Amino acid sequence: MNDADVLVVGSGLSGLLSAVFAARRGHAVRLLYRGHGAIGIGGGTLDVLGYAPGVPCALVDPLENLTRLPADHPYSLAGPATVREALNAFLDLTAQCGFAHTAQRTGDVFRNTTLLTSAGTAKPSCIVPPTMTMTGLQERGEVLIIGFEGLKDIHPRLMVQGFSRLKSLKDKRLTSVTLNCPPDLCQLSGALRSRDLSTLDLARYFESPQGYAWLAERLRAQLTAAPDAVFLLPPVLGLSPSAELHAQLERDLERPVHEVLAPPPSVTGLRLRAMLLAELARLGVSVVANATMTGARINGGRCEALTTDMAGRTLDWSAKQFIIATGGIYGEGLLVSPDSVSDAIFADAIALTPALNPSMPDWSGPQAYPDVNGGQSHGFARMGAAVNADFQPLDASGKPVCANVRYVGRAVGGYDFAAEKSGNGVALVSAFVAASRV
Amino acid sequence: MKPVASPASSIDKCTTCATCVASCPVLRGTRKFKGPKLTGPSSERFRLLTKAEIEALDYCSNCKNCDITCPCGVQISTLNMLARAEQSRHHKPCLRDWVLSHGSLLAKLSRIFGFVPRSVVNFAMNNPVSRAVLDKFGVDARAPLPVFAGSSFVTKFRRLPLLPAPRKVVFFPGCYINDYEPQTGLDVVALLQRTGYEVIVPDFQCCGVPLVANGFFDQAAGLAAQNAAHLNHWASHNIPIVAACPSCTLMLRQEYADMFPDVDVSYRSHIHDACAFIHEALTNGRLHLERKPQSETPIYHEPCHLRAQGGGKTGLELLKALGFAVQDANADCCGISGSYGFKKEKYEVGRTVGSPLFEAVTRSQSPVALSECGTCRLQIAHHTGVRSVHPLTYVRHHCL
Repeated sequence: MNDADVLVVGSGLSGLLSAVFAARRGHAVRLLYRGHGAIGIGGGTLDVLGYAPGVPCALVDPLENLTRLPADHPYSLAGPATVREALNAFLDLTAQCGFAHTAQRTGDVFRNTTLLTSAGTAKPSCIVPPTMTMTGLQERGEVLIIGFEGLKDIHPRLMVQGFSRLKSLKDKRLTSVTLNCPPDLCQLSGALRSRDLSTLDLARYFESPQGYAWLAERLRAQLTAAPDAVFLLPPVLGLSPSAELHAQLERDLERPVHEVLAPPPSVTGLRLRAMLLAELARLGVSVVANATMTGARINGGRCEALTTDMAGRTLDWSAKQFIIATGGIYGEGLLVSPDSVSDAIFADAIALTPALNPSMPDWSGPQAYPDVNGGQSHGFARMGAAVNADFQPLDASGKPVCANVRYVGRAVGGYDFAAEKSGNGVALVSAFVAASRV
Repeated sequence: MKPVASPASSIDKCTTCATCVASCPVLRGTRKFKGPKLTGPSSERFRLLTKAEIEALDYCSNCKNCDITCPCGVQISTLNMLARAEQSRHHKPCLRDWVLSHGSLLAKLSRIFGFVPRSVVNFAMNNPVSRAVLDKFGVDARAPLPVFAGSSFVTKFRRLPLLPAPRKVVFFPGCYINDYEPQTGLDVVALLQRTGYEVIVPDFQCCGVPLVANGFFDQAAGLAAQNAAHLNHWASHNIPIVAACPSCTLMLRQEYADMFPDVDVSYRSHIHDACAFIHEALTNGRLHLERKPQSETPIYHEPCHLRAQGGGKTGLELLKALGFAVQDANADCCGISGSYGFKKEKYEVGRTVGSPLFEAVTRSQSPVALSECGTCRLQIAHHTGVRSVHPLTYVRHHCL
């Protein structure tokens, strides 16, 4: 009853992309998940490689620096040509889904875009959504930073302070404006006070005609005081995976408008998720929510089925090929206790890299905490399944555990997404490889 | 993905990432609800110290989308229900909530006074004057109150000819089918019989979902114990137990164990979703169904309480396996959440929450909507005017 060509487990970016890519290749795909992963926490941008070992500053051209990565890094395993192919596949996908993302390119060379954050910092990213292209920022002399009264997580004056220290914005006139809370969102009614305002509330409201009208009018009022300005907004321009609202606002203001990266719930990440879910629905992928994985049935080097627990009953989910996107420690793809760490599905059959034993002294010794200032990253931050170039997980002897199983995203070891700014990039590349091998 | 020991112990896994906030349907409908993160794990930390409760707890609809969404396995909605139980021990829920959560008791009472025709009872409940009175009392005048069926499912089932068969199955109808939609129950029975089963309808009580949602926790615990005792009896004979209502299966399978640790739930691995059960019989070759030509493409809605169980869209999968053309609405929560959407202060919340679904149903121009959950069907029919039936009703009509 549960037969599928490809069974994907996990609904973070790597799981959704694996399912989309596999279904677009004509396979009958089923997606199982428990929890939404980190896609609604991250900013919905495709950071490929922001920093690399031995380079003291943010990278300008991520793909030209892939050779600096260690041999067991997912990008090294996939190879630079495949990384490039995956980036192009993602750009095509977003365009075909009506939510075209962009990357700065000179010929065949991808260049990072410096995104701005609500913490007043900058972050290198490679493929960015249409609301974050940062075009016009270099040419124009003024930056107008918009906030909203009651939006507690985003403070325009903090951004002004932070941005004034950035080399790229040093000579700009930085001003901040805090708009009132839209009256429709702040009315107190009954005995209950309204909850705190979030970017999510604002994004939903600005999708309504009255919400957009309110925003456009308030922003238009700023035009005379800032004739040459680029507008920086919190990520509030709608929740739909569409650039329409953003384009309309740029037309109405006749100025470039960009969103900054902000703390979760991430409106920009949710837009990407919505785009991928709509594509899965269009492709007829069957989605099973809240499925708690318990293990795998393996026979003769092939996985026959994955199992889930349903209130004490074991359900078998059979398929020809399996793509595992269950995440790392955070998504509980890796189960960690004070003295053990193992894969949530294949348990100890899969070797982890780096092979740290999470007990004293490994867990607290120099192996786990190498010299970070010397460009090395923490062992636990890189921990995940050891895989080969096909992203098949390996056992302790270095052989594939099952020929028809592939690991993607944060479940894969050998990279440090936080230090490298490579999380969504690895998710994409591994999903692209896994889906093209099934 | 390790199982969590208890709802309370799951709060330590909350990193306040706000993924639940992004998926909470109620937040789309009202600014009064503080959201699952704040009402659940964040407040729970304070509940451990004091009895003070935040005002907005009442706005959680127990749809369970927060639990489904959480990357870390925090049982947010269950924490909310346990907190509501504690709160209602100190502040009695209002009469309106008592009435809305005791539908099965009211149905029983009206059966005891059997000399009053059911049409009179329904008229007494649903005429404009009493709806105005009910409205004053907190049941929204626009809400689609279901009408009691002329005779209950159990009564109708008893009138059916007994069809002994070597294999037996227990059918747990639940209140919605028993009191409001007995025909749906008869459709399920017909398909189970066609599969070669002798159908047993056990002594059953309301599963307790509406009682828990309205704060009548201790009463729900009592019903849970009674249901579990009956179900343990059948399970000990290795007889499968089938239910067609997702809220019933969720409660029997999962929530009794989470909420009432004293209840013996040994039976729980024997609980089956009716659509999945029929689907399995088709796959195993125990059931053969021929599909009659279809004149329309129905639209399917996945109930939240079905999504929470990890078995997939069982009705949709069954229809697809039978070769039916069917469209998946893919439109989140319908907004009614059992008795939630009937309440005066929440009717509009429910309407806003469900509006993407209503738009999808209307846009599909389908004359029939399918959903496993009774109150989802009620809500869809109320807001779209489209006839809404259980997937097994559709299967019976098109295959038997």
